[in-house]
Amino acid sequence: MENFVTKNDILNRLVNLQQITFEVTDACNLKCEYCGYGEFYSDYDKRENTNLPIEKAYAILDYLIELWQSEMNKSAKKNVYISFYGGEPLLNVNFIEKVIDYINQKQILNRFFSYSMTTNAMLLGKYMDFVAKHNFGLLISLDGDEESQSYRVDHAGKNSFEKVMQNIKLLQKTYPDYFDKMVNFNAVLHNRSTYEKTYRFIKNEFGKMPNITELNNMGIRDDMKEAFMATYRNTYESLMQSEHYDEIEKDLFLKSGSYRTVTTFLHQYSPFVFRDYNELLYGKPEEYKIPTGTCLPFGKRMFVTVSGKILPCERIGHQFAMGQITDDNVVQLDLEQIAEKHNAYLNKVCNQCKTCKIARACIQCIYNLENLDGKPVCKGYTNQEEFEQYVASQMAFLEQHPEDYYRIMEEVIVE
Amino acid sequence: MENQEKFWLFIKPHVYVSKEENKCMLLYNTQNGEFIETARQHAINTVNQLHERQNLGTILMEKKVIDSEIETFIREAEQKKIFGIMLYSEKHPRPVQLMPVLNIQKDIEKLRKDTDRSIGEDTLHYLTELTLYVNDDCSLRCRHCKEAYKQVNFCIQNNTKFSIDLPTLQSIAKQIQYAPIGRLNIIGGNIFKYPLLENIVDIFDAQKEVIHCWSHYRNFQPKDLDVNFDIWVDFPVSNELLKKCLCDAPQDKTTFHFLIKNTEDVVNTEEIIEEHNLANTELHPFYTGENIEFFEDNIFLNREDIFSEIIEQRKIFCNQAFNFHNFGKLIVSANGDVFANINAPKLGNVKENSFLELLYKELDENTAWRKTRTEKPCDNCLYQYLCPPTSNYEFVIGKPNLCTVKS
Repeated sequence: MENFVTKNDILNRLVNLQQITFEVTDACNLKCEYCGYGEFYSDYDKRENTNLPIEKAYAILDYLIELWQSEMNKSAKKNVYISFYGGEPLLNVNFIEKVIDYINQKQILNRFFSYSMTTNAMLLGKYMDFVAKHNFGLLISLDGDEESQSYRVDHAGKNSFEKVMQNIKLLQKTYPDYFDKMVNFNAVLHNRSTYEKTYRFIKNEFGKMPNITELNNMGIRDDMKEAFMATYRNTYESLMQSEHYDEIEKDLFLKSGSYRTVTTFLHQYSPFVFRDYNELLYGKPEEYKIPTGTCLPFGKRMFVTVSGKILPCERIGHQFAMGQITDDNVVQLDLEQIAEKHNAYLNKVCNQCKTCKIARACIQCIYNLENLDGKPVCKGYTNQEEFEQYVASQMAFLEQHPEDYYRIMEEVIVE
Repeated sequence: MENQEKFWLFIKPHVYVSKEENKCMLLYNTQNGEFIETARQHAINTVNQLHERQNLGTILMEKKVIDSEIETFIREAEQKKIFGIMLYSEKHPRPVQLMPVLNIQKDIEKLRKDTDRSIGEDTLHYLTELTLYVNDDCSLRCRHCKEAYKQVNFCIQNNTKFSIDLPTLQSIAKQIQYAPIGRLNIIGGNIFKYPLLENIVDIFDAQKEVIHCWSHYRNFQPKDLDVNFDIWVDFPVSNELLKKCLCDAPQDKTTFHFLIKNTEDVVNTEEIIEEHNLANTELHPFYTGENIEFFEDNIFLNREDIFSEIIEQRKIFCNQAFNFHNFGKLIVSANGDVFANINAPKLGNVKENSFLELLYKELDENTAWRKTRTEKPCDNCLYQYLCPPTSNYEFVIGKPNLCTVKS
């Protein structure tokens, strides 16, 4: 077995952690029909209307603060995002306030903290002073107009559109500057919405470019596959069917798949992109080493579930928890074991990656591969001919958008 | 090109283009070293068109509107693999080029503009060389002692009796243990008068493989130290003491550095190297204040020197982005003062500031690491970024360009 990741690699990522996301509560005041914790899916812990105990948050923060203040810390100053996720996080504002107070008390000199939250906006009117006061980066889940929002219903089955719009408008009116700088929208595309309709609605109503995403197609229950497919709509296809897709795409820039893909292409294959000054001075690593596009564990964030499970991301199934905070508030993260398990998964696909021509620009997370505990097969495997088509399509995109080449090269930071 | 009406002209991505006030232009192929220097306006205009953002390095040309002068220019550029030509066909896409735009993801100015990021991220990652002047005590009276350390890693003599104490040394070692240091220079004064010399390897355990102890040959003493030695030799030489040093120093782990003032020193150095069969040697020019002719003859660059070897694109990018003589290096003096370059303003003091603070300050204030050739006369020179960045010699000579290209 090849050891792609070591215990020290993971430790280094924890020392330099960029974001910690708390699943504040698994309770929600909506019952969205396509919810990732709803009837379509099987890969999550049972929802029991519970809150994450604050002591568990203190425990993981203490664990991380010790690392951030150790000699292993390499940053003079670094921003760390503390994010709150649910369920609906505004159902447990008390927890959020305590976390903020705790961090403020600790006075951690080499870290700056920013707060963010994903919310359905049902309680936004009530808590808008709070979110504005702490300058929360707010990601509001809104699928678009009333019809587009119609899967986002309350427990009585009523469309949340009216209430949500009322709250968002109130926030915009009361805190216009804050709204302008810190509020963004996430819309899930489905069979009752289209890319263009959602984009136009949110842009016209709020002057914002929404992040339009698809329903998560991992972890679908066998008996729900048909219902899922009836609800699912592909973002790329929907965008391409838009009357003004080029204008929309240009406007969305990195929020559109095409721009993200060409950015990845340039960042991975251009000889003019360097991670940092050292890479420019000493040269780029010659060989691509770690299979798949999976982040190193905790390379981007840490996700703590309501039951205290520790995951590297909120976008992967809870069965892939890498550690936990016990009920007596002890952080259990066995880095050796995490590395071993992670390497074992990577070894399952590394032979496919070795001959895959697009391996450098891979964005496939191993934890989202089907049949990972058996013999996973990567659907993104690319042979030489397919790779040439990929390169040609990226160059064709740049031919159509030549000035965006400079915009990506001069302005975009993805590292 | 002869028989076709329309063709795509494109500039290859590995071509570096430099212009002097739009009156003169250099096209340099970074793969084969071929270049064109021209002041012809039509050539400059053609390249300007290729550089327009909406063209992405490609323009459509019609043979009938090309005069013979521009055709000659295009032919030469094509032969030198600076331009490419593709016959126009509706079936084939425009051959857009990935133009050579330097993109450093963690570029300081980029990070500064991004409110979500900080220039303080991963600062320790940049510390690749540390020089510690552990003391400044020395009983030698070298003629150029007060000047040489400003040019090269020469020892210093102040006799202030400052030296880095054990707690400070331990603190430094603790702070840099996770830095990617490729070279740790221990220098004095006379390091053999430093009481903690024999503890250095233990204290800097994480860097023990890359410790270099510097000494003047007349100060050298045999010690049971598992380090690399770098020994200075200056002229005139005491043959007796040099022989003793050559005999005592572990040859496989020692580099001899010769301080060169003139051609006579070069000859003498060559004799010593040959006589003693020295394997590891380096010659360092030394400006005395009176030997500018030696520098003009041997150090100053002329146009031929600049083009004497192929300059890779990455090297040009480096010259645009930072000063590779200085980047990644910090110097700690015997009183704890810290510099990014010995001739640059002080960044702080190790007793008052952490290394993370000092590194942050250098990245923020740029006293030395990112000093490039942006001052006159280099700022308006075709070869601005083909030349290596400014060194200590420019500083001590008081001339920003050691070249004969621009006066």
